[in-house]
Amino acid sequence: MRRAIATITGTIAVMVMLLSFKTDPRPTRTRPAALGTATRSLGATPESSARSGAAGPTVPSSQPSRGAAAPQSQAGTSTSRPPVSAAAAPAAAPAPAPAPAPAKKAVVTGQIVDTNYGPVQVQIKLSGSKISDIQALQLPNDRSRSAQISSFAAPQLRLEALSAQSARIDTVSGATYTSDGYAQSLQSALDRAHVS
Amino acid sequence: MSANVRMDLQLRHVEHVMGTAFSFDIRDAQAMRPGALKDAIGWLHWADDTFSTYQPGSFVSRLGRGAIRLADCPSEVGDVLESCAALTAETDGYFTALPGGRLDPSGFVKGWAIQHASEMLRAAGSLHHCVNGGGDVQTAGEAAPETPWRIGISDPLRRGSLVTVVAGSDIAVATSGTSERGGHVVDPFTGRPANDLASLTLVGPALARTDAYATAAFAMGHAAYDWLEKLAGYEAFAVLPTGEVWSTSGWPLFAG
Repeated sequence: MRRAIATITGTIAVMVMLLSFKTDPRPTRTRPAALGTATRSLGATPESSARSGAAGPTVPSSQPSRGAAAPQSQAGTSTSRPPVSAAAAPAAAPAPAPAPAPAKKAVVTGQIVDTNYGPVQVQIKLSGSKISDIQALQLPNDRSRSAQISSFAAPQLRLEALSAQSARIDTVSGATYTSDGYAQSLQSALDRAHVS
Repeated sequence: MSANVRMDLQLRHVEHVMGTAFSFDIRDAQAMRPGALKDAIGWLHWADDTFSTYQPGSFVSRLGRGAIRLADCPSEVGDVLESCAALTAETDGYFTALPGGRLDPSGFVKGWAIQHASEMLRAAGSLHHCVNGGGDVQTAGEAAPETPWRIGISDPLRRGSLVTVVAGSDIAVATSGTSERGGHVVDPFTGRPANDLASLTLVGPALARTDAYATAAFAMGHAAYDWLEKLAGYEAFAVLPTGEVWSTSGWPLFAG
């Protein structure tokens, strides 16, 4: 609960237009800046919703094997070490799905967000309903601390959002945020922007 | 799911509070009372202002240095400390609101506040949403009709990658790890950072308890496995510093 950060109420409405690129003709609506909250309409029918996942590769089945060892095998051994499986395989980066038709390409630019560290703005490139790239158009660099955050956060956030997308996930749990301030906010917003 | 359930208006919001980012992802916003999100955000800030150990004027800071008594605090402070005491007992002392002898219930407050924010949204009509506070997640309902929420678990050894994916409805997911915001989980018995595990993810029904158990289990290290197998209603997945992983026997229930 760092005090300096608690005062930041950076809010961003990021790139939530993904579905608009598919079949939903309704425009993305952004709420008045008071809350800075993004609202979007999803297609009322499952078919028209990109959440049906038709466009995305599925999660690879090569999940880390689940400590396959049954707990019974441990019974009575009173070992302090549970059975482990081999090294974890990353869940990301599945084989690319075959593309039946050239996907529609688009670029979506997020809002400029003022933070205690300076303004931040990101841009997403879309291929169909998939994010193909994420770029930071603006990141704070006026102070050494901010510069450190920027250089560290930008590539990490980009990679994480992209890898998350490939597994079609809704959000991320875990130690993903090591830089303070806005970088965290950006990450959290991005962690869902790719689901469609 | 019945055909008349609509999940066609999505509301997203990111809020900086408690030194991290909280994201709200509401999938049935059309069913929610207007203003409910604002109320939930206000709640998080209130909880931060009340429980922060970084704000010298917070109730918990003042209570910790003896400037006020518990009776002078909002009733939530007593509730939280009571829950923390119960968790200390349940975890054989591995969870504590008194690290190093100093009053600091932060390890409980964030998950508890997230869970309560989710309950506020639910009471306001949203049955399908996800609240993520700095990587600890409370989901309600489903991501879409007949579609569970999918939560990527970040790989503690490969920044930017996921180590696995959890899928489920009405679940809480908490991950404890060494690199989380640069901090460390300290083994309360040795006073040193716990380092048997690189990260431990716990899935349970509600985040307050799930998060506290994850912290305690991480501090237990290798011994957490046996403790977690006996813990009904919770499943765990751990990554070791070597990259090896283990999980409890019921974990495949949540395999994404």
